[in-house]
Amino acid sequence: MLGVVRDGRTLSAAGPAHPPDVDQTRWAWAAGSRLQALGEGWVAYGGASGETLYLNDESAAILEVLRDEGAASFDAVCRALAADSGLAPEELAPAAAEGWSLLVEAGLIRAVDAGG
Amino acid sequence: MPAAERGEAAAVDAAAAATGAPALGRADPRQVRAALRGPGLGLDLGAATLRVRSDAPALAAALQSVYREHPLATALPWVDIDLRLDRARGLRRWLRPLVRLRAEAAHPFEPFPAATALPLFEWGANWMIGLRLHECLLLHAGALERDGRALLLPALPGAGKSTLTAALALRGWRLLSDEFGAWDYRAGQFTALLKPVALKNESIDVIRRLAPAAPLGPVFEKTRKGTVAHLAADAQAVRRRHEGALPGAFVLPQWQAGAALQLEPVDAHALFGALAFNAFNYRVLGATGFDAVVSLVQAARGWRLVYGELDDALAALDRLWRHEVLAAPG
Repeated sequence: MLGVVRDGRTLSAAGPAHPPDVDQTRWAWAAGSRLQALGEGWVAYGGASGETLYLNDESAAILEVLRDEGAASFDAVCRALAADSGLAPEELAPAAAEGWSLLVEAGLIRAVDAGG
Repeated sequence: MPAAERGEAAAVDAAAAATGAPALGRADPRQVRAALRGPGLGLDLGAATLRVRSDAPALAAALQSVYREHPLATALPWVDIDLRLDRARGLRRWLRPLVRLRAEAAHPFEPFPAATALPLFEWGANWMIGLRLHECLLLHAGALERDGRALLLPALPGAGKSTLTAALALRGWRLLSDEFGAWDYRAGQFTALLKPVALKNESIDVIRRLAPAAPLGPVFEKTRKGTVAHLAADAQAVRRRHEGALPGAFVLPQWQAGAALQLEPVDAHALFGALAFNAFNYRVLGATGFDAVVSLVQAARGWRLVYGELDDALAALDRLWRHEVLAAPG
């Protein structure tokens, strides 16, 4: 289960689990964002929103891929996570898609183009 | 206060000590009243300076009581916060004398009864510090120093923060602040914002029982926060208010009637939230605030303290300090 907790509130993805056109777009770590492991969890600062969030491991993993490897499509992120976890990309995709829009809303990632 | 002016303020302090400028509590009351009515009375709190002007008759003596060890100053090299407390005009002043706070160009609070000018001044000063002092991350916390390290007591109102802060100060810890854990993120140290400790309701008698000679100021009854009294900072705390302190420990206090003592470690993840989301200016500082809280959580550990008896809490903090904080590597 992919989730984002903001200021103590758990946000759930609205609408369909798969964000529209998510696999057609390249996404980037938003400038000025921060991600930090602290104790048993993660905290992040959204450069585009100014919000601070608690993240779970799965959300943090998505952000790490985009921060460390540069802009990538949703499918490419799933492939990178699959390579790390040993799971198939198709197995990871539903969970990743569930929280993707929340990461966008939190200002942690942003679309950079609609290329392949 | 900018670093250069802070150095200058410390130099002014040293000069005042050398020339025998009196502490406010020992100054001639006429001199204090004249300063309030004229150029203003300067208060150097450490990380910030404040100027207050007033024609409220009750304020001079109250300030002399609760800022008794601060030097009398009428000309500071830098003023961060400028306040006026003036008697309200109009016909009502004959029926019920009121005093009104002006902070720069604004009147942030409704007028208070003239007799409670000091609580109004204290709340107004805290309000302005929270609004203006963004050179520091301002944790909502009691702050004290021992062995060069700072003990921070972040808490929500009603948790017993001020009572515990006052008690520790009376047991030899150096008071930095009752309200603000002022983290100077550029210097990497906590700094003092040295004002009196505001005690409310039952905590006033708790402190009187702990230390019958505690330097408490006048008691104000029926204020908006109930009965209020202020504990003056001691001479050592005032003299050293420009000395910083490295992070030592964060203790999240919670007083509960009849509770047995509990002191448990807090995970860094939870500590982050306790610091960031209770800070006065965390959101204002943006990414700098985030980085500052992360650095604090990495620099010092946190504990949660539940207590019913003040003596138990003091003993537990003393043990914690000796065995966990001073003994910790680095």
